[in-house]
Formats: sequence, structure tokens, C-alpha cells
Amino acid sequence: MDGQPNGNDLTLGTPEDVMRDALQSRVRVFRHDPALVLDFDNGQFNQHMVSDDQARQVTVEATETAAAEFGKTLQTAGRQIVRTSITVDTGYGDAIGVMRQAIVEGAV
Amino acid sequence: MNPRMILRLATLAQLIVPLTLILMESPARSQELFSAKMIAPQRIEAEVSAPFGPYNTNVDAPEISVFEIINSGQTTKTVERPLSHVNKQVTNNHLVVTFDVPAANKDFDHYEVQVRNYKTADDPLTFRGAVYSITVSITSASDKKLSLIIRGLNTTDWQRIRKWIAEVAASGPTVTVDLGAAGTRTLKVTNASYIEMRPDCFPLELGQRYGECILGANLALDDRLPVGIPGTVKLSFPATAFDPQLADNLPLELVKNGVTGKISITPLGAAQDRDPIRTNVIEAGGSFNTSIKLDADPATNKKPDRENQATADLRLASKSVTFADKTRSFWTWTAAQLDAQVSSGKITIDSLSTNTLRGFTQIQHVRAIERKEGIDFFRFVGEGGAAADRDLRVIEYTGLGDLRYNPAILNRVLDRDPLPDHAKRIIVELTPFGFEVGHRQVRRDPLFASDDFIRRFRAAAKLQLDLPPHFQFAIENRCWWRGEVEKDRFRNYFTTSFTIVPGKLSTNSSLGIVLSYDRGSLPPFSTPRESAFKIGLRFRRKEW
Repeated sequence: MDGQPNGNDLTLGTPEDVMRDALQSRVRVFRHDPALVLDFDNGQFNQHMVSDDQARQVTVEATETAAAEFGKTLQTAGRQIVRTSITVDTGYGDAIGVMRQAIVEGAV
Repeated sequence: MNPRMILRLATLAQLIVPLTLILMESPARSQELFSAKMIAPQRIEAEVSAPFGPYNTNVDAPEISVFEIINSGQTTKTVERPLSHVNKQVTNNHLVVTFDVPAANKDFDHYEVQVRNYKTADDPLTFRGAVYSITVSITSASDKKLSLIIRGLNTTDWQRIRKWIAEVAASGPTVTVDLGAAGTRTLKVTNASYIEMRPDCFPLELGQRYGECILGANLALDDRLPVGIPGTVKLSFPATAFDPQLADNLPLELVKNGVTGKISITPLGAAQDRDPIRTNVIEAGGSFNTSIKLDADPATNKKPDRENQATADLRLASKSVTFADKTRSFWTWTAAQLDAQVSSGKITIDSLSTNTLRGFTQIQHVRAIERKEGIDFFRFVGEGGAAADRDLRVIEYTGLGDLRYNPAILNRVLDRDPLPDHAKRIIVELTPFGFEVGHRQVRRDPLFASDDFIRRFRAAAKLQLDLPPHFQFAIENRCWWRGEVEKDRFRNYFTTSFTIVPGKLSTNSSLGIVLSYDRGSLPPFSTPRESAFKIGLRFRRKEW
């Protein structure tokens, strides 16, 4: 789903959907591929990126977007959680957990 | 059952059963046709928001049933439960029913509520859906910490939830670690190390009354979780956690049977090169080398012989700290790093020129610039430290500044839609310009004469081709223009390596078999240049 509920969609949106949407949108921009769909069960950053730097930068920016959806601003502590937790071999599903932790512990 | 699945089942039931009504109602209202939620322990509120009147006249006409879904091995069984203390009323033309249910079975999974014979403009309809309640899930389990997510509706009293998790954590719930064949361990929670002040709630659209919120909390453990071993953790709450005084009337049925999660395990990749931001703190290796010097002995002019030696390779680092992080630009500091390549034999004309030790501190300013092809990274690197040959004949105390550039167009995945861990990747780093200044201390017997004031320009380029899951090829060249010597001012170091990765070991360590060819020399340039072929192992470990 696209995260935002619409009138005909009876499924409740969840906070994870916000974070998944933010990460998917950012990876789409990074890859210049608007049709890219991330596999949050088995997919990994190394399918689309080559370095830890790239994976971390994309995740930091996606986390900022998600934090803004919750009315929060990501701080340096939150960015550091992402930069020290994400590698190019991290799974997209695990990245959602890291984003979540960054928002919980590093956003106000 | 996954709470999101329960939500989806509930909404699926809403979709299928009252389909005719949905077609007639406006879309926003259709989301509110039926909902059921736990409002207190063993007390459920169900609401049908399809218009009660004028089609229904008696609140007792619709039939209410509740079912308990119980886990039974790999399947589930459904048992109808009696209702008590039933209260039916019409509010805002909606039927709202509250009732008590008996204590849940020990293998309880979830409740479902059914409302039959609810009259509408067309036919009497049946509604059925899962009962939403508070759930807890483990999002990560590593080191001495469990990260929890507590889910509930936006109408939940979240301050009571915060108080409950803090008090329960202090009561010392157990964490059972199941490592499969490696056995089980039991840890204890010592306290809640962090509880979010307020939950994050999904923004409600116009007409929506309920949305899911999540609250994060971290629990501290009395011992470390195993590193690098796949396994599961189960957080079991003591019975006292659900005493009415402690639970404060919170509906925690879905939590009573404990919470399970996986131990965090992302394999550490094998690589020849260091990470720019250090998360790997120890890399060790050994190799067998065959080498020959490219220069004659400067003292005796003796022609060098081929040498076969063993080399130990050790790289240590403290973890990098990030600061002044403004998303697209940030600073990192790695307090201490050591690079050591120590070979057997005496340091003479025939020993390896890369027989060097270097300790340094490093600060980087990183800038990321978005391009159509990806992201360009510019690193402005400053390092200060000391370099010496293995025998400490000559020690250089230097500071250096480099510009390192990772262009997006040359750092890319080569496949269109690869499988995880199977993407062919090219990684390029250019150092178009750098400088190095410092002081040389001669302790004894220098092989080469030099001014004590070290001053050099430097440049480098590195290309790496990853052919996962088993192969990696790297080629690198570094060069120096040295101001501290009268002749042979230009020095070059070329290395190419082929790494074979037998398999990923664990989240914490990796192993690679490295074949490499080195040619040239490294600072402090106190030994002759070499040409060496090496075969060896490299082991990386993140925590030790």
C-alpha cells in the first residue's frame, strides 16, 4: 500500500507503512526508478546500492521524512543510530526497525 | 497472530460481509461500519456504525457472539464463549455493545466478535471481525538490549502504558534465548532503559476515528545476547505484571503469553578495505609472500634476492563517532586506528617494504550531493599520527589532509534487478589531491638519507569490483611526491587483490582468502621498494 489511506481502502494505515513508504520513495529517487518496489521481507540494500555510505544516506533521509510525518524532527543522535547500524548488507525490513529506533531515541 | 494481520482480517470482514452497505455508504463512513476492541481486561466494546434506525427498533434484536481463537499446534481452533454483563445502547444512531468474556485460554490467540441480524435498508446483515487490542513486539534484540514496540489505538491511555512497561521491566521479566542446536539461555530484564514520551500515531483522515499508534521502549538485560548466532528470544512477563493494580485495567490479553522476536543478525561482509566510517573494529590476517626488491642495497649496492616470508596483518580501530550531522553533510571522528603489516625476517634490502606500523587518529568531513545517477560523496579527511618500520628505525610524526571522492556515476550496481547478496557492484574512490607534513625521527641505521622535515603531496585511486556472493576484485594505486629527499622524489604503491569469500560467517565476523600483488613502498619509505605476491587469510570482527 502507499501508506496514505483513501476512502475505498478499508485497511488501517500503520506507522510502519509511513516508514516503508519513506524508504521506498527515497530508494526510488536514488535509483531513478519510480516503479521500484522494495521487498521488505527478503530484500537488502545491496540490491540497489554499492556502499555503506549510500545505504546510510538514503536511510537517514527516509527517517527524516518519516519523523516529519509523526510531527518530529530527527536529531544528530537519531542520524548516528542510522549511520552506525545500517550497512549495505542490511535488509530493508531490518532498516525499518533501525528507522523506528532512530525516531524513538533520536527525534524530538 | 500478527496485530496488523488482525487489523486486516477485521477490515476484510468489514469489506466482505456488508458489501451492499459499503456500496451505498460514502467511502469515509464505510471504514467505520464495524469495529471491536478490548477496552479493559476481559471486556470488549463492539460498535456497528451502519444506521441503527429506522431499520432496527430493538437493541436486543441483533445477536451478539464472541469467539476465542486458540492456538492448537500448527493450526487454530475457534470456541464460542458466553457473554456476561452485556450492555447495549444506541449512540449517534450506532449500536454500541459492551460485554465481559471469560478468562482466556492459555494458548489464546485472539477474539472475534459477530453481530447477526442487523437490519439495513436492504437485508439484515452479519458483521464479524477480530478484536483489536494492545500488542507488544520485539523489533531488535542485540547486545544487552531489547527494543520493543507497543501498539494500540489512538484512544488508548498511553501514559498508563508507559507506567506499566516501566514497572513490569523493574519486576525482572525473563528472556529465554533459543539458539537451536546451540541450546537455550535465560536472561533477566533489569529495567526499562528508555520509554518514548508519547506514541507515534498514523495521521487520521477526515471521518476516521481510529488509527494505530506505536510507542517505543528499550529494555536493558543483565547479560549480553549471543552475537552472530541466529536464534529467537521470548520475553515472558511474570503473572504479577497482569495484577489489576499493576496492569491498571489495561487490556493486555494479547501480551499475556509472552512476546517473541529474532536475535538481530545482519551478516558482516568480507572486504579487503576498511569502512570509511568504522564499525568493524578488528581485522587480522596472515599471508605467505614471495617478493623481490626493485632497488639494490643503497649501502652495499648488492643485488637483491627473492625472499619468501610470512606476514601478519593487523588493523584495529575504535568506532567512529558522528557529530554536527546536517543530513547531507556531517563529521566523523575515529579516535584511534592502527595499521600493522609485520613480516618475518630482518629488515634489510630483502624484507618487505610494506613492513610498516601506523597509528593515527582520523577526522572526516563528508558531503553528499544528489546526482541523477545516485549520490556523490566528498570526504575531506584529516589524519594525525605516527608511522614507522617494524623495527622502529625511523618514525615519522605526520599530519595529512586528503580529498577523497566517490562519484555516483562510478559507484553503482551493474545488474538491473538482482537478488539480495548477488548484485555485481563497482566501487570507485579517487583521491585527486592530498598533502602530508611532519617530522622524521631517526632512531638508528636509516637505509635512506632524508631531511627531517617531511613534506609530501599525494594522490590515489581505487577501484573495487564485487562479484557476490564469493568474489571481490580490487585495484589501487597511491603515489607521493616527496620534498624531503634529494633524489627519487616520486614513490608509488600499487596493489591488486582478489578475495574469495567462502561464505558469510555471522553478523559479527567474516573471513576471506586473499590473493594479492603489491609493488612499491609505503611511508615512511625507510626500506627499498618491493614486488611481492601474497596469499593469505583476512578475518574481520565487529565486536570483541
